Amino acid sequence: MIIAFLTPAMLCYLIVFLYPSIRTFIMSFFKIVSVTDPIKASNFIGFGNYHKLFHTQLFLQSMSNIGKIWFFGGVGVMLIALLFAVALTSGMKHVKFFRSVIYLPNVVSAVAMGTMWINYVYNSDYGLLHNFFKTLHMTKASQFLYTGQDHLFWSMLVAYCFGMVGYHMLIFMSSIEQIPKDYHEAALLEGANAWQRFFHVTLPYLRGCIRTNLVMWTVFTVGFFVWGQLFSPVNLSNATVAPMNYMYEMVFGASSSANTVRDSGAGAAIGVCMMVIVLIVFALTNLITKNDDTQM
Amino acid sequence: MKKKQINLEHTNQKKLIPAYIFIGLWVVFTFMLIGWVVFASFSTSNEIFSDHMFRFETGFHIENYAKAWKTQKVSVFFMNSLLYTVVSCSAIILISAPAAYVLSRFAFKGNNISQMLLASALGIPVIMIIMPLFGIVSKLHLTNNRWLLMFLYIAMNVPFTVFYLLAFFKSLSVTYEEAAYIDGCSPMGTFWKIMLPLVQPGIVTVTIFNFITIWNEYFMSLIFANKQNVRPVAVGLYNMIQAMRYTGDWGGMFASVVIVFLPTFILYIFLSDRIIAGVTAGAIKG
Amino acid sequence: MRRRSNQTLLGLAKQLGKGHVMNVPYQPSTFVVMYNKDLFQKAGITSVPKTWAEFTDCCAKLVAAGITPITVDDAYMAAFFGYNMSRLAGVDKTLAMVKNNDFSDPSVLKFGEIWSDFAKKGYMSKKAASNIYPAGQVEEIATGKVAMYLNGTWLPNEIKGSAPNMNWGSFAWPAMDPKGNGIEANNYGAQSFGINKNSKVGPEAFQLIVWLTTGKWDAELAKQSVGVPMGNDSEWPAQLKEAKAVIDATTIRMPWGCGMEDNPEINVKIKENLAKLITGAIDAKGFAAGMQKK
Repeated sequence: MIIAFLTPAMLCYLIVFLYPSIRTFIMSFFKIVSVTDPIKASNFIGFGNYHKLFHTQLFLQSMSNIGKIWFFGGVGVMLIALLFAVALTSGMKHVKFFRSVIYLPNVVSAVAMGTMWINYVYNSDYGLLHNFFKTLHMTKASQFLYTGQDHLFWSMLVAYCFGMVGYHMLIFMSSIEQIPKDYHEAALLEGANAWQRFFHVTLPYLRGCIRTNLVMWTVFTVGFFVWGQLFSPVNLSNATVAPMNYMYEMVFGASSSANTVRDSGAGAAIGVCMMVIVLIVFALTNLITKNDDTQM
Repeated sequence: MKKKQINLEHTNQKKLIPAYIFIGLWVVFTFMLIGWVVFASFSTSNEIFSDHMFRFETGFHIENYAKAWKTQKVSVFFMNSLLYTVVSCSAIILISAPAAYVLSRFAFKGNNISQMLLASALGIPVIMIIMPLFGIVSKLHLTNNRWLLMFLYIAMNVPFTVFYLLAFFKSLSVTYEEAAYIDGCSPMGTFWKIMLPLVQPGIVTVTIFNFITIWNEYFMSLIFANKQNVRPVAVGLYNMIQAMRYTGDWGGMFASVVIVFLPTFILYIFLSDRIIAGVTAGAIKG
Repeated sequence: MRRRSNQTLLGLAKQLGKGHVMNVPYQPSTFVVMYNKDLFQKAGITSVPKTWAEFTDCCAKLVAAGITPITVDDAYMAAFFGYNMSRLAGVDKTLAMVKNNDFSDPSVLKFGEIWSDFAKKGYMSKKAASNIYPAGQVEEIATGKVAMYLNGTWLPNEIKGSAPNMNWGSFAWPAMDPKGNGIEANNYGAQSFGINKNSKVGPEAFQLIVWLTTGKWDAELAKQSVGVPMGNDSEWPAQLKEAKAVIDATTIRMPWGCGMEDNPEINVKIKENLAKLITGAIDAKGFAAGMQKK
């Protein structure tokens, strides 16, 4: 039975993930210009692509960017998502309505969300924040340039995180709803207050869920692409570049420069680096949040 | 017992007031954002970039929607997307749930490795596998083939679904299987009849995610669905959005945007009604 | 075809194709200062600036009339910097700067000084520091708030939806320093048609291209897309008539942005530092230092 149940999934994996990623992994050690060029033994350059990457300022900047996104964004999103999830499962009214609205930004296409933030929220002449601060007579704040190069990164991060909270909240909620009611009843009978119930009943139960959220957040961060493009639509900026944006330019060529320098080998190398990051995080979370079976 | 519970309800609501405020603000902000897009979809470009967008001085421009719907074959895209998403989501569950079940309950030789491999699939960006995939597909002359497209959608989402359902299966008690075994149910039967229904909340949630992911999927569709008649909604409409951005038809662009996100949102509202909270512990106790 | 089409552009195609015309150009464009004639009139400017002093004077007049003289956004900052450098240090030196990623030349500091000063005087729109494409053209030019934009002749077409009746004019970016080039150096280019080398219908394809890019259809395309026609005798759209003089006077062709976008690392440096210069977060020295970072 085990084989019958497991095989279809593993087949999918082998064809669509294992073979292509192994081939891309191999590609990363060769000098390859176009994506469809064959791999010639004569073009083997060992760690040459990696060496070049780690000495390229723009690539290092992109790594620094996703590092900040992963940490600051991750903390913010997880805390808010958990807070919402707990609140919504503690007997609030109109839960379904709130849940739908909080998840809504995640459903709306990123292009629309990004445009909303840039053209409405952050606009320095007619935008939401500008009008808000103007009514409060805080003129300096109302003239703040949210999309100026000094603040572009944080503006982008806030906009991105806003849309992500709903997704992680849903994952937390579906896990919290699975906690058998007896646990809470038993705790209540023993006189536990809300905080104590949260820390001793809810949180331990969420270990597997926290791990899922952490891994998914890492995956999204590594695949950060569209928002970087939205906040710097025509060409790369230090504030918004993520490794995938940089890789896209390496593989398909920048749209505006006259001499398009394509380097698919480097692109493949970036992909490999990203994969390694995710593997590390997965292994670490495996160690930290061990999934013991809950005892009944 | 009842008295105590009623008291608890009262104090609960009071304690939750800060939550109401915070969530309330969040909700209001979300409405302002989405509302702006909807308003913009009825406006002209000039109005959008001015101080007086909400006054609709030149009226409601419904023609933005008509233009967005007619100029490209949006109905074709819609039917394609519907087909791809429904078929793929069903197949994903059929493939992933059994795999998640055996990985979570049974200790066998390849278990850990399989889990690590599937998890690693999550960290592989699409752009990383697209190149060799394109190579194989071209050689087999399968570009623009609907079934290939669906296979790709399914395969892309199986790892995440397995991983997600794994946590749910792990949290189920072994007593279910023990009881079923005593009743003479086969292992496979146990799975289909008893264990699978128990993780229904998880299945519903992950199907929603998959639906939205496949509906909004862009990269694969762009590369493997070049012909208009097999194109899903995402590529067709996104291209329209890009085009309208450059020509400055922002009203039309926002109308397209609303057309793109509406189905996923409506679906979400309907499906979320069916999420059953928790397992009736009473089934075992009683 | 040779006789009917724009010689400059065919010559360019030949040059880029290393002696052969590998692609057939159409829908040519050039990079000039596009300006709003009505706003110039409102400020009392009677003639187009031909020297840097006249340009500065124009800016002062515009500010006095409550109009912001010029703007830029993140898509065009590199080209803006490149053009300025070509006038301050010359095309060849600028291209060398890009090639070696070496911005230690004093002309970089000069650029910083000029624009830091201009930003303080309000000649450069403050919003330019935060404009994300296409904010510069849509929010500032189309709304009639800003008078000039160093941009391509495609600009009227791009914003004809929001500004269908704008009274467009154009002039070449003036010379700024005797060490650099003047209005004889400009960037121009075109879209082009190429034929796949494996095509089995090469000659027919070529006939189709000729038919599309000359005579009636060339003129029609130019008219509908407010673009520049290929044909020598074709009528230029009203909005771009003055750009013709710029192209005709061009003897040195600069590549796009004078090469500033060829290296993405240089491009990001320009965007970051120019934006800070405009808001006053850094001064000219800070700009030069930022540009010299590797």
